[in-house]
Amino acid sequence: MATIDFKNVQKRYGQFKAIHDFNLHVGEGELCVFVGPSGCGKSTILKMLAGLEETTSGSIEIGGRDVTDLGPGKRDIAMVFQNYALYPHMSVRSNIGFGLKMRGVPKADIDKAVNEAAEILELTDYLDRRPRALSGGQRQRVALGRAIVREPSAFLMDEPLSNLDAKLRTQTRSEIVKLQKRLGVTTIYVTHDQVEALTMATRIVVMRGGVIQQVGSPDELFSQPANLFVAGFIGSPGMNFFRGPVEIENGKAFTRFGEQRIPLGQVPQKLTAKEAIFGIRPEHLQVGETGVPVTLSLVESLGTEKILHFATPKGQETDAIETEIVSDEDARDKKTMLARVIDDRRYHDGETIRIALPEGKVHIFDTVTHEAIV
Amino acid sequence: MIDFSSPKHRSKFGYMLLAPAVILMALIIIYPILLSVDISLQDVRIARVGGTQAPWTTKNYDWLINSEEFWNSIWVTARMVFFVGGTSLVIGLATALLVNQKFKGRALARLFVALPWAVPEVVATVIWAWMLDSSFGVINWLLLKAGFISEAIQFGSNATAAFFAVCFVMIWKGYPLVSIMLLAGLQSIPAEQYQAAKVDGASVWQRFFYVTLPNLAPVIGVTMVMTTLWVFRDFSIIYVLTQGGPIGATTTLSMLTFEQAFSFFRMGQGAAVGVVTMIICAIISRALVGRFAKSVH
Amino acid sequence: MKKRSLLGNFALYGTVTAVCVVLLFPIYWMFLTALSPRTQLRSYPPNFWPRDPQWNVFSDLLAAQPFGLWMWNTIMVATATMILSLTIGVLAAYALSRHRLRGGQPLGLFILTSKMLPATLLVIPLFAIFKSLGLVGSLWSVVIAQATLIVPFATWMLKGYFDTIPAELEQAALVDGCSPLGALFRIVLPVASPGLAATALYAFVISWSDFLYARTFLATSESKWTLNVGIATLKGEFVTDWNTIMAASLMAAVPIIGVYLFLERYLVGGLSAGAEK
Repeated sequence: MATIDFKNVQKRYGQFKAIHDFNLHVGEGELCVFVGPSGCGKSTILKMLAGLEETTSGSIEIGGRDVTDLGPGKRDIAMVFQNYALYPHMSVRSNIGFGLKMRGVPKADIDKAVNEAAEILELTDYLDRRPRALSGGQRQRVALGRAIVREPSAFLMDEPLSNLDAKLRTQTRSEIVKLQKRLGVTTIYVTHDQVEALTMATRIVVMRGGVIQQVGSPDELFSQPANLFVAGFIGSPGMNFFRGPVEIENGKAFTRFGEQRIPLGQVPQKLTAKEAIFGIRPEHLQVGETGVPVTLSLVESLGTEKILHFATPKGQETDAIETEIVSDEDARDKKTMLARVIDDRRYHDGETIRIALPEGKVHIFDTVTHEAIV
Repeated sequence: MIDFSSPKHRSKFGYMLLAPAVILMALIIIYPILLSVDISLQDVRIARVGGTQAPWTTKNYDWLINSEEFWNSIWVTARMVFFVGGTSLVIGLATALLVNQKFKGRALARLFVALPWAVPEVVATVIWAWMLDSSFGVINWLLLKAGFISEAIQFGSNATAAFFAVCFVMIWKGYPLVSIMLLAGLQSIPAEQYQAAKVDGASVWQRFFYVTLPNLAPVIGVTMVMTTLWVFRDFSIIYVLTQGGPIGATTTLSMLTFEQAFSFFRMGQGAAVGVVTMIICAIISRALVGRFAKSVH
Repeated sequence: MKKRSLLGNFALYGTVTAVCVVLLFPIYWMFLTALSPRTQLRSYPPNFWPRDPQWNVFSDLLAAQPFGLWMWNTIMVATATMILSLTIGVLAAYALSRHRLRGGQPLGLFILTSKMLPATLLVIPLFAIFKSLGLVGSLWSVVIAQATLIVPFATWMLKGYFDTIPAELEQAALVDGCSPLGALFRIVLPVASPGLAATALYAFVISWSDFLYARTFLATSESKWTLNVGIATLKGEFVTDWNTIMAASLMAAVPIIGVYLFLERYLVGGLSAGAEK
């Protein structure tokens, strides 16, 4: 158990800057998730923390000890790899015990520790098999076993679930969280999947292009995204965006959505233009008697939950979506907005419904900096 | 003591692993190459390292340009490359296509088809020398029996026959590698392409010309470069079978190099031929590899 | 897939058999000649079936020529070359496969192109060097000369194998507390062992087949000859003694053919892996 500190960490490959000035403090026992699209530097920073990549400048501390130039084996960490990296020529028992053996732990103690770990992970029956003879989920647990048996001060996990099928992934997700809580070991978890981040993390670090975009709890990220990128990246389906004017009247601020005037919760202070980009999550849009009439272009039904597609009001589309948002889910474009509703009503393609934007649920972003404006 | 597990020193570890190989290469390849250029510029019969160095001269290269032997050997080499390369490609492709079919015993057939590859060159050559023997060889007997010829071919003294005798041995030794590599190439062609072509109504031949060949082109290119270089470099087969004779009919550049250096002990001239051979090899492999690399992208 | 017709099957098996018979006839002919009595070799028409196998040809060969010694020399040279190439090749290949080293790429290119060096050129300066070192006539001269070809080849082949082993394996080993060298020996090499075996045997085969270097450096001392030098000389001396030559050839070829039959799959994989890059 230990804190982890990144101080002005940078990474360059020749001219290319992979990590810009990375600063972060991770507290004891936290499960901190690094999330971002591929190539955002999340795996690089994890490898630097593990000592597998050289740190160009800055320093990394684990438990207050500067480990920047220490070898991976001297950092008292354990790592779970995306492809598990189990040693194919060793039995499960030797795989789990290898780290202890390398540290000169007596054989009897290794056996005891391996058996305990195997029990926790329900691997006892498989200890004498080779990794080849295990299923994907079992291999994943062996990889976890190899990490926990050493009782390290930190776990590093690099997309450990991405090789599992969807059902197993959900199940293993909660198992890892339970295990982490039980052991209380500080954990850095890297993923590109924002759902994993939201469900597992005590704190999320959103990264893009080697730069931290926002650090916060899942709730904070969801309700107060710091910029357009985070707003679009977190949540499924992602946030809707439209461009609109900011009108101030009697100390109250409004924008327009189609024909309708939408009251904003607060008066935006630091605005660089008369316009702003507004965001609203699909689940916050209200279908009802009042509001802007829109025509549904597509209805996706997931049982009681429905995703309604309709066109962004004319002239309010924003290019920022396409340049900023790299979402791995359904194709979003600047001309379509989504509403997520849970009710018993039936919706049809081509039907016209009324959509309302409740006050206080609309996020405001600067058109130039794309930062959130409060 | 440097801790090589530290991320800071990890690349030093890499250089350390590389060092023995680099030093060895420098000592036994780079230095000898430079030395051979040096020797080729000296008028020496038996080259030595150390001692007094003979003055540099272009005498050996002058000899080379004006010597009939040199131009003859280039012509012999070119014809041999062409004949051996072409025939090995045809046989290699045919056998690769054959053992790429699905049938019982395919693994065994693959094993057998490439077996000549495992026969040492000298052994292969003496087997063929015996089969091509002018008095009691089985090939002359077969040809006589079949009525193709009326008297035994003298593979030792007939220039054309000797040339083809060398080619036969080279083809027999060389086609298995072509076959092995083309088979690997064939296996990497996705089955979907054939299925799509079938759905589009392509015949067997159309599938061969529009799916197989284009996919195989890069492998064919690499294989041809390798075969060409092999013929250029080969020494054992020619030396054991004909010693370059009769009257230079099978003296390739490689043979000429050796002959000058170790039969006539004119190492300066031998080295000059060798240096020219090396340059030709470099140009060929560059040109061919470059072209085929381009066609892939 | 459509089932082949009976006729199609027949044609296919017929073709395969015919092709194998034609292509492998020289090997069969070697067997047959070696075992035939000398008198039968001059009979027309030739015999295509061993009627009276003469097994004593091998013992005669061993008695008449220092054949056992030549075989021993060949084994020594091939083994030494194999060990040398594999040791240096493993280290270099691993470095090239795993480390982004400055100069690594040109070196890889150099290794590839070293294949195209004409050996008859290289043999001249090597002769000069060995002469001054007093190595001419020593088996070591052949080992070193063969290394010019086999070390680059082994390095390239091994690099192909190492490239298929995920880097995460040794990263995991480093995290588990191995030193970089420990990770190589405890994890990477055991996992790469089929590749190591294939490369080792391939090095052995190339070395076994060498004629040029042995012929040039060892020619004057008959007790140091390798099999190939011996066979080539036999061919020159006893022009009519084909059954002895074929018996010698058989003994030189059988170990290599055996290796090939045993390890064909690995060899083929390694060869084409090296070729396609």
